Amino acid sequence: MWFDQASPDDLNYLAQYGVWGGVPAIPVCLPGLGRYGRYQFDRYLLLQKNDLTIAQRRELVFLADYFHKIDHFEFFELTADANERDIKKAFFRFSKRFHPDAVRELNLGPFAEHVRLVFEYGQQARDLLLDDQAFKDAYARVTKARDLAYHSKLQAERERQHQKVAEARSKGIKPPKSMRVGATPTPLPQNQRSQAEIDERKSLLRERLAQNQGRRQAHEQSKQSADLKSQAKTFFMAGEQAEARGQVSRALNHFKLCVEYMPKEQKYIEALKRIEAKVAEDRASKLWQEADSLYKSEDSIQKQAALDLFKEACALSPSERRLVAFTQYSLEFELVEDLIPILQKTQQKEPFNIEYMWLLCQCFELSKSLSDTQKYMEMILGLDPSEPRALRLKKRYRF
Amino acid sequence: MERIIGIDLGTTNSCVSIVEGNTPIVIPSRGGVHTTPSVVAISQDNKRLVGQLAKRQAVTNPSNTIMAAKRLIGRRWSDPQLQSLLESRGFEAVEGHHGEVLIKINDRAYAMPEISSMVLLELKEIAEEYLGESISKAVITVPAYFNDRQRQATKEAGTLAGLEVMRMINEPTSAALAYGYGKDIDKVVAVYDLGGGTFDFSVLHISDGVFEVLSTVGDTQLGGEDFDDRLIMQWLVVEFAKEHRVDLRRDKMAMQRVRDAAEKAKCELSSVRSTEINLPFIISTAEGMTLHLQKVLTRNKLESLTEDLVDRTIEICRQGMKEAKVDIDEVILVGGMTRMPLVQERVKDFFKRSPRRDVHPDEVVSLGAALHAASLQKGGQDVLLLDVTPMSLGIMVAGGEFNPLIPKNTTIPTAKSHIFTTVRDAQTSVRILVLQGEHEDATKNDLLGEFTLSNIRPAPQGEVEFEVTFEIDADGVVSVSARNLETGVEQAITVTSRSGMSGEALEKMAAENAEHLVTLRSRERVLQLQQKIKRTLDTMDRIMPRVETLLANNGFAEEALIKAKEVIERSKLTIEGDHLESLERDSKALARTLNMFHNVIEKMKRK
Repeated sequence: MWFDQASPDDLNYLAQYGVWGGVPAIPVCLPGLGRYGRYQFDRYLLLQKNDLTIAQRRELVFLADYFHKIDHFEFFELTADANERDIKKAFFRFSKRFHPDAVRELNLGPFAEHVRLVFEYGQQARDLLLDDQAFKDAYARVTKARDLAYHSKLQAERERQHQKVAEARSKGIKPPKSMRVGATPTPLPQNQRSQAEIDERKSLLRERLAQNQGRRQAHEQSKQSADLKSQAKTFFMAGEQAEARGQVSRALNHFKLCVEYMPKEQKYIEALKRIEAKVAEDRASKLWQEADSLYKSEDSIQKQAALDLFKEACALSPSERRLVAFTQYSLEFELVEDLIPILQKTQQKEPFNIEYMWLLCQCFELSKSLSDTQKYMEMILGLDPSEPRALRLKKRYRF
Repeated sequence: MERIIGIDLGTTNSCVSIVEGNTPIVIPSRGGVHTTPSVVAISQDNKRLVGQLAKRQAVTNPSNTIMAAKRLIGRRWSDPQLQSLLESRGFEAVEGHHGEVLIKINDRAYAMPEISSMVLLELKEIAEEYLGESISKAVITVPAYFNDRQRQATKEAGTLAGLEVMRMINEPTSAALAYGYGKDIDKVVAVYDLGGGTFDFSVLHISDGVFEVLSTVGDTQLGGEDFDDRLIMQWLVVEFAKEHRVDLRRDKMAMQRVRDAAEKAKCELSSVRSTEINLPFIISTAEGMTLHLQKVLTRNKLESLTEDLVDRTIEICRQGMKEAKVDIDEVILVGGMTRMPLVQERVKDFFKRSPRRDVHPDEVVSLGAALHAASLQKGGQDVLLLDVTPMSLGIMVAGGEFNPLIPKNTTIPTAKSHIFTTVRDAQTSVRILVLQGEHEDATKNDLLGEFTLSNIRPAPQGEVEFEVTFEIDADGVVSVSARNLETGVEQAITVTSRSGMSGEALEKMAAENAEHLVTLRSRERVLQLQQKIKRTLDTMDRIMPRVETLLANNGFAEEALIKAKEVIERSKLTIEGDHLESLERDSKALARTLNMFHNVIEKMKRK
């Protein structure tokens, strides 16, 4: 009888709750066999498509199939000496995995029924263990006694087997296959370590704990950066959408945020640059239109104002067409001081565009700095020796 | 992903929230205020006013204004507390066909869920306007001590407002959620929630993002409204009668003014020691003499009037602490009434620690609801609620006794099965009454519904067995299913409707609500169009003389000018009316005309 070592009072008390109050006769989780003992999993079921992790699936299948064959402590991965706090924590862990709310958004596949069953049972087990201290104590005592009895029985059986083998060996008979085991019986783990050993083990565990903590911190950091990444990605997508819809300033804001979150991501920086250019271009073209309309009027003051607007537009987005036009207007008014820096800047950006050099030539010619004019003219001729405008210039000034 | 809002549907004030990024925020209404009064008014031509507008006109229109609908929702006409609730109300209530409470305005009876749905609709509008997208899902909070019928009715109200109620959570739980969210704590927290109409007390264990409710107690008929009633019925009315020999209660309008003034005075007394209630021309006597009400109310007087109410809450707290069986680490005060110094003092004395001051008593509940909505969407990864049922659920057994099947403070969702059998030979049907409450005598508990197991095979008594499963889902709503153990067939059971509304009636009401929304939106559009046309007309007036001079002596142009003038005259007439289609037509025509004028001016200039 497994329950020989349990007190009869406890057994009687538990009997009120059904057969031994739900303490099964054999522990499933034997030492060395892990949580699921010798449970045979149905591989086909485990590999069905759904959103659960494999570990969760294994646990679900096992619990749903075996909840009446394991005791309440094993159900929550606890030992019989767990206190109220441990049980609570274990239940919280359990419900974070299997509460209907926790799996609400998941595709459970064939496991929906398992989750429902297991959570319902878990609640009952928790209520039994937590709400009734007397039950819990009796349950813990009986479970312990059962484990002890079962282990000692296992040990005895093993020893008997080894004895048989030894006897057979001594008689020169080869033992049958089923009895072939190691020469000496492996003792069950017992708490017979010396203090020094225990201390050593403790320090080892502490070390591992520290290591794990380091790893956890690293993990959290990486998670944070992943958060940033995902945030940036959402902003990027929103920005792209806005851009597609033509909401430029909104897109600009989104891309700015993107770059703020992930300042090193080349894709985002490029997008930001692109959109900034677009915004500048938009504004420039607006200014340009305005300036154009002003310039058409006969009033010279308005024309002057138009020139200012032209300048602003060119500074924002210097395109060839604009610069050519602007230079022309400026030459008309003989106002090239503002124009030269813009032109120079643009020319440096696109060093092989002859048009810009020619514009510069014209400007410097107007401002009577012939050395600069010559410099740019030579640059043009260096690039294209047969450029007619430059040749004409050369002829005129006899460089 | 569609966003889910969190709604705190309160007795006096309601509040709506949403989670932006990771932080919950309260959505302000058009006026920029965070809470909306739960007041509904119906005008003579059946137009609805909700919120601040309804509250403001309550004094002049007391018989068509419904306040504190939450106290009546899900109640039966036969409820013993009901009559005292209706006593001081301005509106007229009648009994419906299924024993429910209806409110009669302009010859039309409104069911309570319908009234609440109007408030929900307003909140939905506020949220939609703020977010710029349509909302169809919400988490709504209910007092923890609401019974199944009240929960059902609230859910119906949500459906009527066009909202899919994702979850109904208890108000104190929601408050604790908002308090404990994002904090890495392992604490036992007590929530003292004294709102406008209800009192709830819950003890929770917060640990690793799991919010486990240990016990919930409360009283659905104890709140700020009762404090007001005390002040009015036991002091103001009595004193006035003593002084002038006139009963204020006979004048609804006067009562409404007194009610407003009393509420205001009560709120003021939270910060000052005495205040003056001054209501000139409150009532006129039969002889035609006009009387004024002028009283000084001190904090001591208010406290002596309402002390027993506060003591009642403390008694309930004591019971809750007994059921929770743990020591608490923190006390949170929720609800506007907890601003009262006496309440804070008593709570401090009882729990022997000063309550937390970092939660906003009016907004924390809706913030919690929004958080829960967000966590439901994420799949409960960071927050998990383990709530309990506040009342025992059971059945009536022979002899009229109550047999609780699911005891109170059981974690929900939960299910319990019970096996029934026939008691007579050849019995063909079994009738089962489902009840909720704590009393041993079944008749004193609240009847949720009754159902009948029918089509039973005639057999000797006790031979046919049924397994009846009672289920409480995560909303706290009860459902029942039955199985014949002999055949294994699911038995058809009919549970009488709880709020007394049939599916047809519900559909009709929902359609009406949708229509109301359409008219609301079209009215906005009409206003916009009218303004637009007006602006265009102004511009026309300005440029008309110029166009006329430009187009003079040109036959074709003159014809066009005459046509344009016709359009202008017509639009001037149309903006007086509010016909949407003609407005739209004229607005387009005007825009075309204006465009033409601009073109003409441009061309002429070039010449």
